[in-house]
Amino acid sequence: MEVDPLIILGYVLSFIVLIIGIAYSIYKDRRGD
Amino acid sequence: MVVSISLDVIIIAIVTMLTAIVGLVGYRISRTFVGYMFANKSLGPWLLAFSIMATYFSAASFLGGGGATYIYNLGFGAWLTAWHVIGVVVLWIVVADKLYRYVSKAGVLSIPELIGYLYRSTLARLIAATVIVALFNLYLVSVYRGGGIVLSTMFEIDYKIALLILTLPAMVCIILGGMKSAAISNLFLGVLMLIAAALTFTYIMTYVGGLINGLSSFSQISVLGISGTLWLRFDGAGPRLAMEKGLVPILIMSVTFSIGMAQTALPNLLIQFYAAKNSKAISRGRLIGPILVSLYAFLMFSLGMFCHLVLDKNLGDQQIAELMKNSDFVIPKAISLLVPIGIRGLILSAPVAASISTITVTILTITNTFIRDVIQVTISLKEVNVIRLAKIFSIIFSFTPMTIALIEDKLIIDVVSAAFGTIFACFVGPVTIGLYWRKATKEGAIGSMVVGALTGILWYIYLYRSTMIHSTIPATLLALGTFIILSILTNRKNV
Repeated sequence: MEVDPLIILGYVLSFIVLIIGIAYSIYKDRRGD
Repeated sequence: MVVSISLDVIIIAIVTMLTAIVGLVGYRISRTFVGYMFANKSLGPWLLAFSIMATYFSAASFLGGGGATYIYNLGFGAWLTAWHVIGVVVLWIVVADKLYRYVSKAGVLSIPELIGYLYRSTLARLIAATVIVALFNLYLVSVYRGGGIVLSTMFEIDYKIALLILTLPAMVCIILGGMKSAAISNLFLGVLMLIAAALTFTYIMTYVGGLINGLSSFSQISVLGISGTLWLRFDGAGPRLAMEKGLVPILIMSVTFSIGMAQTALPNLLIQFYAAKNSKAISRGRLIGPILVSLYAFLMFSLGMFCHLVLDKNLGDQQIAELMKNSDFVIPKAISLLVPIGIRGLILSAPVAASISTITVTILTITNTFIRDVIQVTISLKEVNVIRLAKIFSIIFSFTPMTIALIEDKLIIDVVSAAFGTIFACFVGPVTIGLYWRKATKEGAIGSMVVGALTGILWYIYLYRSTMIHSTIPATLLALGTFIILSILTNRKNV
């Protein structure tokens, strides 16, 4: 089984953007923004 | 595909009735315009986040989004998920807070009014109002059509009755309680959609023996003579015409971008930030909103290809070929095979829930725009009359798209299919970028909306099928180009 790297990239990018979004939201919330 | 008249039907009937009953919750506060349209600005983070998610995801997200990789390779699921995650993070982090601050400061009550305020232009406001009323009515036609076709096919009922089943609970809900009722019913419907997505994912993944096992099976199967390995290649499986032309990757990227990123500029989503209780609701929603949308996307958007392992051995070549043309029934068929009665009804109520939740807030958005930016701009009315008019027009805007959905005309179907992405193209410059870019001008905003609307519709009708590039891409590029160039030119002139 070999999955195209461009397909894997889509999922990896989703995870990275979501984690950055959550981290940024927590950071802004703690700063009271 | 027919679902027997049983517990399943009863569950779906309960879901639709509950939506109407929830209308009573918002009845008390719907006696003022702000109460009716903006829930007296009382929405907390959970209501806001669930309502925005449920508004954005129509039945197409469950049926089209869920079944798409039955036709396309897994890349469609991967990039549809990616653009949804990027879109929802941009919506909550970049747009929400800034929009809420502007709205609170200026006291505006609609998206066109915000455009009028940002660019000091009544003409820009009127054009924005025209675009919203026209394109959202057309977009609703596609929501009604999708939900109506599914309901009528699953339960073997008349298409017209299916349309009424979608229209009536949504209409009762918003006439009784406006935005407050719509948001509460969206919370309920949104939870239902997430539960349905989780159950669908679990049943299909359990059947195929888990993700890795399911993917490995594709190296050993073929579908109508097409090797299963093509579902694991980004330039592999797709619609026949796109495969022949070698345009599958372009088609995947343009369609998934159009669907996923539209949420950053859709007025029926943005208007809900106006109803936030306070800035704390926005900052807490900023955490909840992206998690909800991402969870739904991860659970649903890649399931279609695994349905080959569930369905194909039970179907003839003719039936597989039909599903490879229109994959909307792939998920319902798989659910009918794998899921026991009762739970099946709960899952199949998700597309109905998704349609109703989109219809309620979108009708409110159209009504709000029409009352606030067309009628109130020209006539001065007492508050009580404004509420009456709002409720009358909510009924009119419930039935207008439903009536158009009854017309079987290729041109109309093309136009309504183009409406969703075209709305994004029209407003991404004037609203989303305009919130930050102080040098943007009214000429740029007006030009952007006009160019976006014309390009979006005309490209879809005449060029989409031959180029395999979704109309949203050229419409967005041309609208943004017009917005930036005209703003720079006229800004200099004004200085």
